[in-house]
Amino acid sequence: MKLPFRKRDYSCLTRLTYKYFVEPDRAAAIWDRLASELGPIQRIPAVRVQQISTPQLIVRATFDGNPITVMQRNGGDDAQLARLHAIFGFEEPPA
Amino acid sequence: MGESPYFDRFALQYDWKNHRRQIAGEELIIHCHHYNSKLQHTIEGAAKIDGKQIITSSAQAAFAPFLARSTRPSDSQAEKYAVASALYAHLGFGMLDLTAIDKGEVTASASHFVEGWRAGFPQRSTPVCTFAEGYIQAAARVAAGRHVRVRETRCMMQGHPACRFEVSDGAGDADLVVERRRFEVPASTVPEYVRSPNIDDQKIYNALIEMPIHGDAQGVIPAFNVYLANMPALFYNLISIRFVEEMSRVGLGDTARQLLKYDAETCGLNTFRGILHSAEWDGLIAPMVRQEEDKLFGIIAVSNALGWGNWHCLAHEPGVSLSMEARNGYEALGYRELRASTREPVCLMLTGVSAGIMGLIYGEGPVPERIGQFASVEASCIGCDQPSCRFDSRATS
Repeated sequence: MKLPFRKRDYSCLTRLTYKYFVEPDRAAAIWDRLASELGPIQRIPAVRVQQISTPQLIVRATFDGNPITVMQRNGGDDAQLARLHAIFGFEEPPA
Repeated sequence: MGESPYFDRFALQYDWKNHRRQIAGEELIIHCHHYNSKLQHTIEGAAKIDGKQIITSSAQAAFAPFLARSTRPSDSQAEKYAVASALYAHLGFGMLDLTAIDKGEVTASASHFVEGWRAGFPQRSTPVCTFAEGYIQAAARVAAGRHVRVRETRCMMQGHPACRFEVSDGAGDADLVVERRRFEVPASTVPEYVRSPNIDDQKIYNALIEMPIHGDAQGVIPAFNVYLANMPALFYNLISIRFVEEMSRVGLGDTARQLLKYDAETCGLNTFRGILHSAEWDGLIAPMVRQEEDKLFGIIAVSNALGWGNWHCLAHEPGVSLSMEARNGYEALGYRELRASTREPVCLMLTGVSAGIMGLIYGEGPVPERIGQFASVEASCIGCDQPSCRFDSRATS
């Protein structure tokens, strides 16, 4: 499958959760851009997880940075999600 | 939450030997939003009893002493309310604004329970914050010595931007009186447990104690793909015991036990499915997994670190059966503290979860279809004067 792509994650804390699989060599740059757009990256060394949390979104991954789980909470924010898609280089496949 | 001036009052104490978590002297169990909302749904949904009252009064009874230990005699009334808000957020229940409680109003802008109901019962259109009502009643009692009745009038579950609670003086039910007797499990020989050579239990315990499992800026704990919350074991024991007792009075005791086991089985499936697919699992445990049963041993280690008790595997045939022993499950110990010994095993959560975990690891089909693919019984129980609790799970077909 061509990167980046996403998979719905039904096991997650909100119904609007997707895992985005991005090109591994772009992961670090993507996280830099996420931090500048959304806020500081919180790192949890004990479980090797990094995340950014906003009232509308939680973005997280292992320290490898990929795949990136995006959870939309409080009903989500379409504009913010669109900005994330631009950062990931993700485009919705045609229906 | 790190910037809360009361943060140091909520320091975690972890009993490594018995896998117990304590804050301000209160024993806490970590469960997720799926389990908590499902439990509430079951208890409040029973038609012949007043389940809402069980939850409100149990929350008040569990949190009043907890809050009293978290405040200081030198705290002003406003500070005591601030401590109550901070503790609520620290434990992961959400954001509670108690600054206008003297005017009869409390608001909440984030809620662990609302998230649970949104995930499990999105069609619900009436308020769901029964637990918060009891917590606020406890806060008023501790901070101001007030006996209040709290009712939620607007809920985020109904689409409102915040939950709103009305607080009125005096009226309402008498406080639930909780008498706890000290109980210690008699010493007995610890058997040789089955372990995976690939799963480093200690590394998992260390990580889960070290990681910050407390509320974020919104007072909730998104971790392991679920919303976690630190709940007093006393609350779980009070609502479960009282639910079974109330249902028994109307001839539905067995039904109540089955319902609580079913909720726990669903928890085993949903909570641990979330955990298995989480970044935390990928970062910490997945690198240890070499074979399918390693996931089971990883899950057992996680559940011990969440404070569920000191439970381990006695025997395991992958895909077929599992026998687990708990030497200090919170349900059995809580029952013995709150009631006398009994003939009926009381660890309904661990019984259901055992089946759920087996269904998750070895079941077939989508998760809802895995319910019932394994059946568990509690073959011995500390609640029945036996030296430990044992849970036997087996494939049903």
